[in-house]
Amino acid sequence: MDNFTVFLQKKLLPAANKYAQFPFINVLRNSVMTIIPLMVLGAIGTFMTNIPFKGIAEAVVPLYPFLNGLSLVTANLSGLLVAISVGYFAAIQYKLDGILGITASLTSFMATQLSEEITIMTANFGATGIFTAIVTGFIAVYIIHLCNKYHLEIKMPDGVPPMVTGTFSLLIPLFISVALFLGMRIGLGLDVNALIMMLFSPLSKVFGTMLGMILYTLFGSLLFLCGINTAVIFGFLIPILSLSTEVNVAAVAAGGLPPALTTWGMVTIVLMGGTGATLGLAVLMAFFAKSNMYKTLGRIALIPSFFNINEPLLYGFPIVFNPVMAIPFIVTPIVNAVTTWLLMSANIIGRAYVDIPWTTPPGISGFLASGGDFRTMIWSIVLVGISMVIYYPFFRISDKAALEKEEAANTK
Amino acid sequence: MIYITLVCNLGMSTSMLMSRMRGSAKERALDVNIAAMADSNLPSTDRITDILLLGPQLSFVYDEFVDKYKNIPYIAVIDQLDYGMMNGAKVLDDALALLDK
Repeated sequence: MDNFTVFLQKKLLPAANKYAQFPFINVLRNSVMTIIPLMVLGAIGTFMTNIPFKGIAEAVVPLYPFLNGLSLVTANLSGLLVAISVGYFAAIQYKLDGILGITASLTSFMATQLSEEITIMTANFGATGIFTAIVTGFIAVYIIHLCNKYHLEIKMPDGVPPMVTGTFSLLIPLFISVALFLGMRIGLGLDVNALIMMLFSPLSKVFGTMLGMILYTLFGSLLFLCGINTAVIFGFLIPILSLSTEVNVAAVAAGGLPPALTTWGMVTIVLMGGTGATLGLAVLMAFFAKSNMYKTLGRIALIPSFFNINEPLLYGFPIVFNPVMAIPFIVTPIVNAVTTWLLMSANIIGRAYVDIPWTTPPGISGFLASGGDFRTMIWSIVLVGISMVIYYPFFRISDKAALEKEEAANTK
Repeated sequence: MIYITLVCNLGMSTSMLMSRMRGSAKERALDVNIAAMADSNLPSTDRITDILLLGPQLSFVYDEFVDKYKNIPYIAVIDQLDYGMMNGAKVLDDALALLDK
């Protein structure tokens, strides 16, 4: 087993790291993270306009224009925000000025959003524009990078202030990228946005199924068992979840059921306590540990665990590189995902369609994500119990071993 | 003043460790400045760093960071168990011990 661990640490980790540090992946992750506040604020609008309790629902009716406006200027602009943040982060990645990157990225994105009549359409400023914004922004900044590398720029005579030179140096790359996307849109008549959405649709289709949800939790657990934070795959996760939200919010507004089950709410409810759904383990340690080590760790890990932050637990227990704990760490989230999926698709509990921050504690997560459904709220607490049951035997073994070690140390 | 910077993937769990380290530094009246951030913010920060501490989840970028951040005199990976136990005093001791090496 030791050889295996060494293999993971020496071979697999550097490979995973290469992936995570790859410029495109790095830029992707940083830029999509910026839309989280927009999603959360947009979700407040969604939640408030769909309150299931009659009295409260009637009371908030006068607030509707405000709430609708809130969703419109937040969640519905997530694609536009990504166009800005990709420009910024890609520029930083290539050691360029941030504002130059934003200029190139934003204009290129806009070039893809023109209608046949050459007016700017706002339809894809939200979630459906995120993937486009990533692609156009990255290409636009990469063009600046290439132009700089090969000194393709307008040279100003000496004595011209550097501020002016900076502005002029952007002209050629900016023209190349805007002309490229305008050419595609107007010259070739291509709908770049639809094309990019089509390219990414297999990814979002698979992820939108129960199998996709199982694969996601499995992948998350496997990454963390190797000591890699699941944040490395957020870059792909967030745009897909935003698409689910857009579809769901539209369906609910039309009075129907939310069709997309894979949402922030789903992920947060299923993975309570963090990757591996470890909240149950944190509770077991805090209240049932006999060894000093796990009692102490339980007390440290419990409160962060309620907010779905579990690094202390993962490294303190440790679960990372621990082949025994790998079993419940993989099994628990899969059990949670499958049961939650089945209950939601059969409408036994309300579906989670309101975006909630991933730090939302269980109970509250189920209540808010389902738009105020008590059944989902109770279920999100039941999952903690399921997590406790699955982790229990493995916790006992580790606790007993730690206790024996402590007693042996005391008798010495 | 010694500047210590902690990094992890999102800067969440290291910020918990940061506050414990600050507490320990305050108790002992040490002249240190401690901050936590996400690894991805490191290239763009203006912060001066004397000692860079990596969360154990970033242990695999150690070699690369030593290579990349030649301006940072001391770079180390936080001990896994100290990290899990959020043992701020011990992590601070270990970090300051680097300066004597």
